[in-house]
Amino acid sequence: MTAAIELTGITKRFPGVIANDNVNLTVEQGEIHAICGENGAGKSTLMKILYGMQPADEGVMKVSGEVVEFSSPTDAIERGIGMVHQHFMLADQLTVLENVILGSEPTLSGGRIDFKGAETHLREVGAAYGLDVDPNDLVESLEVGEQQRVEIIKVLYRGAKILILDEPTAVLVPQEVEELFKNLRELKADGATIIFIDHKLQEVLEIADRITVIRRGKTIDTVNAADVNAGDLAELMVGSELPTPDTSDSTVTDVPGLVVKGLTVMGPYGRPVVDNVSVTVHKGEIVGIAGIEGNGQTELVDAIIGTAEPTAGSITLLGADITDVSVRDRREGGLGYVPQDRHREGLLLDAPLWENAALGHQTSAPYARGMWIDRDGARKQTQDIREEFDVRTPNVEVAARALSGGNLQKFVIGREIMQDPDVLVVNQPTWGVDASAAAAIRQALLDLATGGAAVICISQDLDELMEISDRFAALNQGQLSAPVPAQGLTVEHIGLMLGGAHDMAEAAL
Amino acid sequence: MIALEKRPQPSRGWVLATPILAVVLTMVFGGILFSALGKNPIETIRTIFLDPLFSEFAFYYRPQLLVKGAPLVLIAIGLSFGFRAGVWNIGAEGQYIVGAICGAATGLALYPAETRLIFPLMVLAGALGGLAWAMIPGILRVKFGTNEILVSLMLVYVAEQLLASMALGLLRNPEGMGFPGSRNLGQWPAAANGELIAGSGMHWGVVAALIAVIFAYITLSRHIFGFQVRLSGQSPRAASFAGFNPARLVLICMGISGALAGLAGLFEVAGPAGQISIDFNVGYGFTAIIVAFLGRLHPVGILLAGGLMALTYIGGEIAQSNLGLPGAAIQLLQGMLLFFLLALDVMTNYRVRFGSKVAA
Repeated sequence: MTAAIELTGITKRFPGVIANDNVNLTVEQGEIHAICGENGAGKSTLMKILYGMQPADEGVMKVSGEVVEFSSPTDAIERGIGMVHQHFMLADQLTVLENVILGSEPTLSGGRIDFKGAETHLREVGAAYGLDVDPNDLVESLEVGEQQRVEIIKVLYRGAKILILDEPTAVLVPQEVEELFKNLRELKADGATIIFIDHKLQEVLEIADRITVIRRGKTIDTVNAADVNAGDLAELMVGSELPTPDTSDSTVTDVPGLVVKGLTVMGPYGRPVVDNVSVTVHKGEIVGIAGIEGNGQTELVDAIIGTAEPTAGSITLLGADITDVSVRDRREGGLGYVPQDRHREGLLLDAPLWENAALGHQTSAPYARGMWIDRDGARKQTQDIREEFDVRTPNVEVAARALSGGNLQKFVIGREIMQDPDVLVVNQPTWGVDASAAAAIRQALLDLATGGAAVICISQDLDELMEISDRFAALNQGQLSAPVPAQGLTVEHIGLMLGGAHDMAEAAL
Repeated sequence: MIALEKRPQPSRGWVLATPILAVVLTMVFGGILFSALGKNPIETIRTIFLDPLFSEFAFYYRPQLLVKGAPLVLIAIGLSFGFRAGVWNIGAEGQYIVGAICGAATGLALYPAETRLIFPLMVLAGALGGLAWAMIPGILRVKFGTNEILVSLMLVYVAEQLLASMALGLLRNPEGMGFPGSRNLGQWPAAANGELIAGSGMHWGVVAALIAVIFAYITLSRHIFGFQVRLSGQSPRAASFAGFNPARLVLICMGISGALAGLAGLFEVAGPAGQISIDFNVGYGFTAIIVAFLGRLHPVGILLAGGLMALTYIGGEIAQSNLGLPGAAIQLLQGMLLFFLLALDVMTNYRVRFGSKVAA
């Protein structure tokens, strides 16, 4: 049988990054095929290419055996491909029917819209696929799950046989997920082909027939869902060839730098997103925390730096309780921070580099003298960061926007390290950074710990964590496994930790 | 087909060119408006923009430039702090009124004493009055997350009612034959904000405006607070990770703009206006918003923009009396200026592409 979709050698470059690097994907007729990978792995770009929203730089796309080239989603729709976006594109004030026909209204003579015919067709589509929605309901009166169903019907109504669902479960509560899965199985039974993008392992295993894992823009493997477990998938997603940590010159002391005890942060829906997390990072030590995206990393870091308020637990910095202390005071107390999203959280893209260097340290020397900004001091410090961390920039006056991602990351890391922090919190230190810059950044973190700082590093890159960590822990649904020495950890063991099977992981030791 | 394409970096040339282009476009469309009103467009434009400076009566109008420009610049400087930090105080008009009421009331409470302390006391009271009025939207936003745009704007109308009630009641001149309005402060040397150099239009408000410009320039470029103001407007999220305190920033920005607006009100009531009256406020607080944006929120730019707006006020008055132009046409002209400025601002971040859409 011809495959529904066959992508060969798809490559897509953006300035500074390769979003898709020689990606191959085969989706058979009538299967539910999950595309799995971390945020930023290149799933969305691949789907945008398939849906005609962006052209690929290289590669061949075949739909039902025929080579196609899409220049817009209209072309994709004509080929029977439909996409359900993660964020719904519905007009709240219109009815379900009006939303469904919006943009492709069936007309009678004289330009009148054929609402009757459309409604009949809509009911037929709904009945055929077991999707139950009243065409005359206002969209704003619908639950999120129902709105999603409207999006799916909208796509089917236009004749799609191949559905792309972009992280459809991200907006749903558990019962709605069950409902969605039921609908998807019915669609499949009726002959539809479904491409399902997700990074939640359990869901993927439950719904998909086959799973293709993408990591850093490359297809890693395509597996049968029946043949793998969550641990296997986690390994595929974050990488598995583990370098042996070099602990010959371990500098770990028994002086606690950062102590987190019983920390709990509530998320939306009144669920804890950080659930009773405890960890101690000693001076001279790097503790690596791994975890699939969306398991509480961001919230944990926010609580430590002070931008999120924990509902329970305590944070101690060098023996001082900082649980209720402002971000400013934490910073001045010796806490450094490298955010995950440097563009949004760590930099002001339109401000000159030297002002960016002062960001977060604006009240401390050499950036300030008393209440005044020390412009000369700041410029000199920025110059030092530039030289010390090999930040490629013409000078320190250019706007941060002008620098490449790797250079900016070296700059942000350098900015924190040059301030000589006692404790450094780093989230995804080498995300979107080329190999040589990544190596330099890891070395800088190791040097910082050697110099006596306590470092807590959160990363999705297991190789990276194994390379630099003294101890290793994994976050799963807001819970942190007990940190274990990184040396001697096996891939299997890490997979269990990532999958949340903490007890089994401990037993396996 | 015309498409807008985002520039990789905001264009520096356009940042400087937009205010000038906005003025030119305002003149063109103002001219069309004036001819629709049956006036000679060239003559009207000349009357508004050039006569105050170069006509045979310019000796009278030029000092007026300072008199009108000072409150605009003073208020706009205050607003620029908030606007840079993303704090939208739209109610400077109300803070201006309350500053004038508080300052005048402080003076009048001591009438008819003759001591040099009275005027400084009034200045202090004016600033505090404006500050207090601005704290209402500030505190409401910080404590309850209300929208400071709406609250500050609505407080303008409250302040106007307060002004009317003061002019008719508490502050009414007991020797004023029952006419609304307070005593004339200008006729009471201890409280008067008179001309510092006769015939120049120079009064303490002008001095204060110039000091405010210098103060703002130094604060924004050198002080830690100015650094926080500039940067938190650019990226609130990065600012919170950097340890800026957003609540404090809101209150300080509100406080500065309120205090400066209050000062402007006091200098006006004790000087050019002379008394608290029902029609004391003439819209400086709103026009200052245009001045702040026209001046690109930069102190020096605001100084120039304040001069330009003062020109349209004076030129507008000349056009009203000499050409019979309706007063609303002048306000329309001022509004047009802001409209064109904001519209043209698109050009600093986008460039226009003609022809078919480029295959991305």
